[in-house]
Amino acid sequence: MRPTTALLPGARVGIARRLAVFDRARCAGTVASIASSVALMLILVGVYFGVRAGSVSYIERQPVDLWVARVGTGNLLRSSSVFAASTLDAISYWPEVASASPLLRILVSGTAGGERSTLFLFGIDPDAPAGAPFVPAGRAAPGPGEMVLDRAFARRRGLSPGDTVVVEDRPFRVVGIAANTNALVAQYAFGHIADVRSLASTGPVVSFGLLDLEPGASPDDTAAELAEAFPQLEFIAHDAFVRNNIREMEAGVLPVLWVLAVLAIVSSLSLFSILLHGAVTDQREAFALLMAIGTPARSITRIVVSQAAVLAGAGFAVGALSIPAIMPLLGHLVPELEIRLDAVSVAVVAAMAGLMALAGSLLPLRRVRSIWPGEVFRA
Amino acid sequence: MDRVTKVYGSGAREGQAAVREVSLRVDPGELLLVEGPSGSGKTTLLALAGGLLAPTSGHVRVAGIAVERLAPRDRPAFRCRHVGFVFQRGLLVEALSAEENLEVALHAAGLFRPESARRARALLERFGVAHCARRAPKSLSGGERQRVAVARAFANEPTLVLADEPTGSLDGAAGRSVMQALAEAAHENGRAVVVVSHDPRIRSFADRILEMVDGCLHA
Repeated sequence: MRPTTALLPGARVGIARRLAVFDRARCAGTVASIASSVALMLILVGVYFGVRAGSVSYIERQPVDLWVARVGTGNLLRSSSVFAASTLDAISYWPEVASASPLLRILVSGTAGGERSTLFLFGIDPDAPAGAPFVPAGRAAPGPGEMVLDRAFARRRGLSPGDTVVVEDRPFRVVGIAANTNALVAQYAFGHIADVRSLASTGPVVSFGLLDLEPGASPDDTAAELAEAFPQLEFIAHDAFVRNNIREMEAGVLPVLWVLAVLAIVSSLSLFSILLHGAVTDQREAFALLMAIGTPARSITRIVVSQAAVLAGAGFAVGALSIPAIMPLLGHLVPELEIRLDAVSVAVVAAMAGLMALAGSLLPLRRVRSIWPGEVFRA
Repeated sequence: MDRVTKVYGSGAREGQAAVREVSLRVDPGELLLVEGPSGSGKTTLLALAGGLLAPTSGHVRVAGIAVERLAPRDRPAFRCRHVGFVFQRGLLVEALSAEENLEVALHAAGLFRPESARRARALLERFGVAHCARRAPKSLSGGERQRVAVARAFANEPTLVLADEPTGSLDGAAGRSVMQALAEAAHENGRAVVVVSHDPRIRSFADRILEMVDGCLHA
């Protein structure tokens, strides 16, 4: 017996599309479930990249070759490092070192508009070549009694340059608003290093040193030589320090985002599968008829998978198109939540939606395979 | 069919012979009417002839093909090329237009657009429902639906057309019109047509009438 021809993709998708939209209420429910899942996944991916940018961009953009920290301190986000400022002065005289900028990091509580929250406060030397954040509004280098605030922190409290923020009961004048300094759980702020030492009640200490090397100097060789001369300190190449901070950020944030993403996928997949299964059950007579008149089993399988793909595609489109409307709303409600999306992230979520369609069609396919074409005689 | 018996192995009719030792030959160009009360085995007879059921014993041969020997994966191809079905109530895929319902059958036989669309239109024209081509089945009258279903049954020029109560839900005029279409297709195109029905109004269209009682065929 010569086999029947499997339906061409165009014909298959045409039938699948018609079957998918036949029950409009069910179709709308299925598309909405996928759309909400896609929107959630896009937001989670966007939050990840937002947190990554907020946590690490400040470090990435520093024009330095080496970071100096106390031994055992490999990152800036989740570790403590304190050493004497005089040691950094000594390092600055090293022949291969062009400049050494100090950075003192402490945790403080900042108050503005009656709202109190935690800040990563960085004390910087306004005259040093490194340490200042990227400031789109105002001044990057705060003098005594001045402070540069993170954009999300400032937005939530309605602060702008010229306003006052209270840090540990001391007023500071806001002189700049920094971008890419929002680590989600806490935001960065920048003050004069003398003020920060005073707030921390410490003497002349620093947390980190930012070293710019002379042209032609090898960062690896210089780091090795400096480590030998200053055994209590660690000298980390800029790229390695950035990677360390990304790892730390991911260790803190990724598990939470993963749990949320998995929950979103599982709940959406279950709902999608149930809705598609219901659609196939409702269309049992149509599938039995198609089988009875000789549509090959593989075409029936492909129609179900195409139906899932059509619904998933529509769900993805609705979900992705809703993001530009959701983002400003979220930004208004939760200014600390920075969402960053690029084409690659959207493509990854699209691929996940495709996989979800494939997985979601497994249960309905079992249902279809249980249909006996002779059922049409009982219709 | 040669001494075909079908005993249901499970379900409510477990162990009962729905069809007993039935031998039957239908020639090309013949319209055979099988009458009988509900539960007499008429529908099982159609399912056996159409390769939807395998007989418990006996042989079913359509266009020289031993249907009972076909592997399950080959049965759709057999039905597509050799058997046309007309079901009760003019069963169509509700999500597709009348024309698309015909095209689905043509696609399965390897005929695709634009040829499938042209052929579907020609069939709808031939059976007097060309005006229904773009309409959804739910907007068709009972007679129109059944005529579209008849057109679909003849789409792939099958050897055998099996019609299950084709006039059951139709008024007199519509029922006559559907039977006229089936009879013309049988006589003019040399198809073997088997109609099972207990509608006495359609007896005049049959070339031969058999009665089925308790799974057995009687002249």
